[in-house]
Amino acid sequence: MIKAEEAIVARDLRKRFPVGMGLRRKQVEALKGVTFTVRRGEIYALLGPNGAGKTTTVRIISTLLLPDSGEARVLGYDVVKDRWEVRKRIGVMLSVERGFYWKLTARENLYYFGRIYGIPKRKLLGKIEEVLDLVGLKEIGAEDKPYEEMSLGMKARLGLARVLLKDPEVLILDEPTLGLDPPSARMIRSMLRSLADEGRTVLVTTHNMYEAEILSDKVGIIVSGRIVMEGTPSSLKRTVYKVVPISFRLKITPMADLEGLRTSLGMLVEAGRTSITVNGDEVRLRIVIPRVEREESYIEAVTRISYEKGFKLLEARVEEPSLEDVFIEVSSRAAAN
Amino acid sequence: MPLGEHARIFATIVKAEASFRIMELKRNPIFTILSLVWPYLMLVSIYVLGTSYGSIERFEAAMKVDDPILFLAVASAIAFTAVGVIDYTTNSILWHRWLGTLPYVIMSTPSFTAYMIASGIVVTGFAIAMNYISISPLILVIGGFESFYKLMIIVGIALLGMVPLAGIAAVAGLLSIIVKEEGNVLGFLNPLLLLVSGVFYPIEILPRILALMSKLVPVTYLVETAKLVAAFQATEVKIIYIALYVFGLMAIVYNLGGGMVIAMLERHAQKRGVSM
Amino acid sequence: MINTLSRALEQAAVMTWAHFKRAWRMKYNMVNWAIIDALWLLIFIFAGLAFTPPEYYPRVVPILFFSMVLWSLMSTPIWAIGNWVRFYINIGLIDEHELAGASHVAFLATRSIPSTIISIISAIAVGTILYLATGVNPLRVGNIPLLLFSMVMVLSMATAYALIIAFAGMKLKVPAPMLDIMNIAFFFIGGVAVDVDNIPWPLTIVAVLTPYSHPAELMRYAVSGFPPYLGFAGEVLASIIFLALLAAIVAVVYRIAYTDYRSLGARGVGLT
Ligand SMILES: Nc1ncnc2c1ncn2[C@@H]1O[C@H](COP(=O)(O)OP(=O)(O)O)[C@@H](O)[C@H]1O
Ligand SMILES: [Mg+2]
Repeated sequence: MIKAEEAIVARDLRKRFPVGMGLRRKQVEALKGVTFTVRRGEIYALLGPNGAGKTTTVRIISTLLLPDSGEARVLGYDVVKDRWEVRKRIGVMLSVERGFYWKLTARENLYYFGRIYGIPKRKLLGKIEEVLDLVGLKEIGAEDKPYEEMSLGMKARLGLARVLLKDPEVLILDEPTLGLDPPSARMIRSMLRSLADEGRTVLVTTHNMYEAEILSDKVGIIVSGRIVMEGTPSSLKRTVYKVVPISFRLKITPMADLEGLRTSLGMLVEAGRTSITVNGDEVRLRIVIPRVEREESYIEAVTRISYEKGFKLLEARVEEPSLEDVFIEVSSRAAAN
Repeated sequence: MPLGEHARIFATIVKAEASFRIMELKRNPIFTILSLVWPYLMLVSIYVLGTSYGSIERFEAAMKVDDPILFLAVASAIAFTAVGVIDYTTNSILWHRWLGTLPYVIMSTPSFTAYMIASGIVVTGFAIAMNYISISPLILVIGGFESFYKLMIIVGIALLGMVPLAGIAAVAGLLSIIVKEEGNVLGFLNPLLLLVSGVFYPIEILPRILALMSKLVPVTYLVETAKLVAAFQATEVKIIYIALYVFGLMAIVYNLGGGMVIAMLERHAQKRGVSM
Repeated sequence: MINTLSRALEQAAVMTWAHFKRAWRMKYNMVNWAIIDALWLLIFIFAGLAFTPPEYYPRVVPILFFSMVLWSLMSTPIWAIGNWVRFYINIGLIDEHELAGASHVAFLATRSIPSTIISIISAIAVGTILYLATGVNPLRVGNIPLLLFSMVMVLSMATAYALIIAFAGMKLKVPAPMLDIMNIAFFFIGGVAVDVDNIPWPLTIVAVLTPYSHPAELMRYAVSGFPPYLGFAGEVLASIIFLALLAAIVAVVYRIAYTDYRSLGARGVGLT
């Protein structure tokens, strides 16, 4: 049985798509058994690279796409059999720049969809003003701008406004901050946070680690159609991940040999675990090492190498692993399997 | 840049445009077949429509031609060549716009004018070739080799008659970029050209204003020449020369004017940006 | 039941409202289309007149004119619907309407209401130029209500036809207007441009089986009292039956395309 506090339950969702035509027709396996649970009032972030299956999952949960097998329930209703019950209760944002009538303004679009949803006219008109205000479209004076002339940030805000029009218990959003300007992205994140605080459930996808880390209560990492890891952002970082990032600040001297530094570091640290950025007369260096090894020996080695290659060590610091480190680790492990 | 360099770039564009067109014909066989069928569709449509309201004899008398079917075939080919030239040119600009490659084309090393002229030449050649390949079997069957030979002369004249169109088409295409609209704002150019040039009916039927406009359109003279060549009376061959002079004059006026307008638009585009 | 119906009507009304808003914001485009439409109609009309001795103009001009108006009504929905279905999918409107439980058929079908404006403007322009050229008033019509009825029938059939090719295009993944190979044949040998009686024998069957020929026969009857091929009542009945048949085909083709949409997603039925 579905427990009352489980708002979204997905069990072993599988989906294949045909690609190509005629003899070259093949199938891609977009989902290879996706299972996860979102509790009521929680923000759950599906984090994964492009093509991982985030959109496919979201479209199945929001009743648009039929799964090949597996089952999904929203507030206890089956997304295939009881799709009308599900649709009544969810607010979906499928994209930041699609799904509106181009030639209508923000306000007209909201009126249009409100009427399509069957919201009575009197109530709708008041509600439109309210949500336009909430998402900040009025503040920036965009409420009477035609959709086609809006910036991406405005379009995303309008997308969220339309979701709010329905007062949904569950919100499902597919990469709602993709490509947005920082203020719009921040606004969307804080709206989602306060909606969750009101007790609504939010399922959101992203390929932005930072966003998943600061926004969500729970993260599911999805890679090639499978959820490879799940947990709170901190638990993912702390327990599962056996890596330690160390960052260094080096001063560039006239004898500095950047290529030499790169080569020597390549012999010290596994490929893909080093990043070097030049910033004025400083070099920022970041390496990620397995947790089992001793940090001090690495710091010593880097100090020696940088001295040999003409750099002066200014600072070395052991960091907390970010979700991105976790993500790279998981992706490379999934690829290896 | 030295002149040789210009010529090299020009040749490169011509080659690129030609291979692009050939690739398109190969890749899209349905489209290719359709373009070959169009002149016949036009011919049959007009024949069916006309004969159900009137008679072919009346048409023959009104148009002053010997063989109305032959004439309709050639007229259709002329019509679709003109349509093709204008369509290709305006559409290729719209394509670039939709694909998002337009700013690169406009701002690239060879001037946009050079690009337009080079691709215009290729496009004209293609439009003529497609349409005459399409009707030549019919001409051979109805008129035999003599008619086929006449058709070749008409093709030659058509080649010249299309030159003035290139200027018009290029300006039209560029204008459609600057006007910020989704569709082809100059889509009326083609039917207007056909309407006033009297391809399928004598100009005298038209209201006066339209009849006057027809004098400015090169296709009008092309149709007249086609009629003469089809009749092929020695005394009238001289008139063909007159048509050729008209084409020459129009080519100079329209293409110079077109060149000036394009240069202006190019500056405008570089200053204001291109609306995407 | 009543509830569902009133909900559907409400949705159709707000859809039509949105389409009209769009048409108004694109008014220059609409006028441009109307001009293009008018110019093509005139080319065919004048070509037709080149076959006709001027003394027959008073009889020929009105019928030729309204035949071409029917052509315009037959073809605008193909662009307004058949071409637009691609945008409907690609700009994500299909998903939003699906989530809202709104009818895709209603959204697309109501698009042919504002697009009729194009045919109306075009008809006015063509009529005027035709009058200037021939001195015959093309609007001298015997029975105006019947004429309007025939035009509404043609428009409804054209809308259904456009929906059929739109959904077939979704299934086959080709642009819908490319599937429109029938329209021009319908027009010339299907008893629209040419009256059914005048069509040579085996083709008469084709004409009678062409849905458009029946309202077209009614149009000719309304304009000049020309007796319809199946008689007045016969043509009215045939018009209604064929419209119902087209509607049934729409329903079937829609189901097929919709099944694909649900299992392949918008990306699977869109063209990009
Ligand atoms: N309609 C479709 N037709 C064919 N392949 C598809 C379709 N939708 C998704 N895919 C494929 O399924 C995989 C997962 O896609 P998607 O769910 O969009 O990933 P994400 O949203 O994480 O980027 C990709 O390989 C994608 O190419
Ligand atoms: Mg996606």
